[in-house]
Amino acid sequence: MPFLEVLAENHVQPGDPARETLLRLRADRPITLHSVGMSLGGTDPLDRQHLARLRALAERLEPAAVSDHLAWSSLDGRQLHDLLPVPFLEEAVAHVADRVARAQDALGRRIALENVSGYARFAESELAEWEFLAAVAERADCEILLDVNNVFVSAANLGFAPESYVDALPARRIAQLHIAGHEKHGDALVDTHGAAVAEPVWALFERVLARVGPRPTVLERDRAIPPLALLLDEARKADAVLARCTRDAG
Amino acid sequence: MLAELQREFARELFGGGERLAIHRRNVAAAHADALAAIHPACLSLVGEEFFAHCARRFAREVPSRSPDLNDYGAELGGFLARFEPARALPYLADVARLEWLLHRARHSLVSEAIDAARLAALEPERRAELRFPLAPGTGLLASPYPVDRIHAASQPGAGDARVDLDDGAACLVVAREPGGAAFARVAPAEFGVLAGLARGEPLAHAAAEFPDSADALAQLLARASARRWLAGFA
Repeated sequence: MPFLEVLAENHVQPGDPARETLLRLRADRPITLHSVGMSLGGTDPLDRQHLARLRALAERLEPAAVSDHLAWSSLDGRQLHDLLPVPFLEEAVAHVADRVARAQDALGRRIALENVSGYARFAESELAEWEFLAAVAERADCEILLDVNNVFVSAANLGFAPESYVDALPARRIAQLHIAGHEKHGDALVDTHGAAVAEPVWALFERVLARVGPRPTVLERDRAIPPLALLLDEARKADAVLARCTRDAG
Repeated sequence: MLAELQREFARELFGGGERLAIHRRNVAAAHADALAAIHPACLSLVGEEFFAHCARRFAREVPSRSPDLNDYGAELGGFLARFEPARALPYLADVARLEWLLHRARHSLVSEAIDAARLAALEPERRAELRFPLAPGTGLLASPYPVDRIHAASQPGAGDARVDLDDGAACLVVAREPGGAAFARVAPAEFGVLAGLARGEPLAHAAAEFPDSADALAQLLARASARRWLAGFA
């Protein structure tokens, strides 16, 4: 396992019980910090105290990368603890990009912005999500964490071709990838991280790699965790795809 | 425009429309899972279904204010104390308060021991004027119920331990001790001194009604220092 992804909000308390464990793990391999709490797509003021805690954590762990989502999670001071969709308005590009830029300044590090799974869209949206994400990344000068499963889930739920999404993003800004499993609940695909990676998501993953080259990839699994051997098989499958695209690129 | 659209989204989210059901479930599960993780003894006392009901009602009344869910749930004890469906378990609120204090202690750093030599070198009059703030992870809980025994009996593996509710009151200090988060019983008079110190009172004032000898007070301070209940003195 070449690196570890740490969910930042689990470890921002001053006396984080896992503090020593993380430092020990960090001594052996790089860590990436993955945040779910900056509400970069939101309209509440950026939470300075939270950013200061994230910065302190980043200073302890010296992560290879820091990421959060193209989403909002707080409104009028109330934290909703879910990654909610942004309306893709022209005017919102500058707003979100400015928040990402200010968060990057507060952290003293670049952020990779991750696409979330979409279950609903604002009728008011003027841009496609990939146009919006690319425009924000350009303007904020941030990176992109492309979650291939989220693209697939959003495409199925909202009705677009996943290929048009992944093909449109600027390759040089895609710094990391996520793959995961989803499940069908009623009419919708839900990003549960509770199943094996689906075949069409593997295909989309290969498509991304063929275009942008190998990127650090996390296989996400939080629920219905199978025996380790099965997870390792999936990880090896991802490694094989990465190796193939490295060879093809070379 | 962005803020307006997000407000409209939130109204729909909490309004119960089918379109945002997945987000509504995510929001509810995030809050309920966090409360359950912090309050496992309460969960085992009332069972999953009842706890989930409490959590839903609590989350409706008390929004989360921090992006870190470790900050969510301080008010659960107060909520349970006035939650009609939980009336049959009058001690439940204090078990929740104890679990919250343990959670805070677990996420706090261990304080330094206080400088006993410097303290001993001070004139008694000077010592009486000192303030001893509690360490950030230290909390005090006085319950009319033996809440520490109820907590112990609710741990996995405790089996079918019986607690007599008439065992009486418990005065507890919960803290981040060198070996981890822990709680200890103190005598009511000792609890009174610590509560005074927690309010920021000088030692003489906090101990004004302490019936025991100056030696007993010194012992209490020594114990508080060794267990890192105090942040220091000034």
